[in-house]
Amino acid sequence: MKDIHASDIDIQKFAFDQQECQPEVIKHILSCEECNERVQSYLALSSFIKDQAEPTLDYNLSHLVLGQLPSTKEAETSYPYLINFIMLAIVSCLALVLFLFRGTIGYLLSSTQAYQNYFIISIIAFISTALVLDQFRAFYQKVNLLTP
Amino acid sequence: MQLLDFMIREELTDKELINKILEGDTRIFEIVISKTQHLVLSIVYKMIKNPEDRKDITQEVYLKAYNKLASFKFNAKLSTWIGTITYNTCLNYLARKKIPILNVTDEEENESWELIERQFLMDKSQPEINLFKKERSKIISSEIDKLSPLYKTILSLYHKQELSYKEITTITGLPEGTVKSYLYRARKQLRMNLLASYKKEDL
Repeated sequence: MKDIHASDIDIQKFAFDQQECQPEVIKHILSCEECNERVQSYLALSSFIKDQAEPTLDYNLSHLVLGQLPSTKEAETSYPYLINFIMLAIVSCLALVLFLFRGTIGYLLSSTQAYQNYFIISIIAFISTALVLDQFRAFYQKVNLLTP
Repeated sequence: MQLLDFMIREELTDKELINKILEGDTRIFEIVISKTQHLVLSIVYKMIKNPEDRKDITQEVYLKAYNKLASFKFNAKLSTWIGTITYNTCLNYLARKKIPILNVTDEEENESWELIERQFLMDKSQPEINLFKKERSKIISSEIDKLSPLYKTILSLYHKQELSYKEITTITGLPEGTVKSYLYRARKQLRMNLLASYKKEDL
């Protein structure tokens, strides 16, 4: 082993994975100037790679990426909550009206004329609610677009 | 206040970060970017040469990571997982462009390497370690650039990013033995190319 120099793989193992090196190889490298020089050259190469400058960007990567992500759900989550709240308020109002005027409603329903009126009022209420919700949706879409 | 807020967020673990993003706070994703940017850029810059493509691919990596965040199973560090996405995105790019990740001809140079090495070992007046002095940094950088994309990437992951073999294995999907073998070959090729270029410079 004294006269035969360590192979390149053994030199690299000694430099970077010494636990994988055979004891006789370690013994040879420690006593051989030439092999030692090769080990030092690999270590110098490694430290040069480590000292290389990190790539620098001439743009803001975070802004670029975040700009392409859907806007934060904080606004989005409050939006369905508000819709639900409005829906609940409308349903509650309707329920209250039905409860308070149950006698009148019963009377109205008993005549054909009143039933037709009720039907028309229901349709108007439904369309109005849909229009309000649609306006609300459009408003939030615009707000989201304008938010940077 | 914003800085303090940011610093507090920096302390969040990978799991907390992901949960917050999945709950809908996409702004938290900025922390993920700042935490993993070095690794992602290191892979992209070693595998891709074209500056415009580097920019597009870096964005693509983060958009993919964001879209797949719910599927992250915490089997590895978040940075390693994003590193895997980066490596695979770069591989797809290279495949599309028909750029080989490894040059087969590299292996054919072994004979000339032996000759160069022998000449250097015989020349006692110029210790080889002088090759890696700072004034030669341009030559070394240019020689690193000449390596195959895979060799450059693995060298950077191991020596620059100081990742373990296991982490490199996870990122590249290569067996540990193959990663080690590529690392040995890459270092040897770089050293031999440097010796050769040093010889040319001397002429």
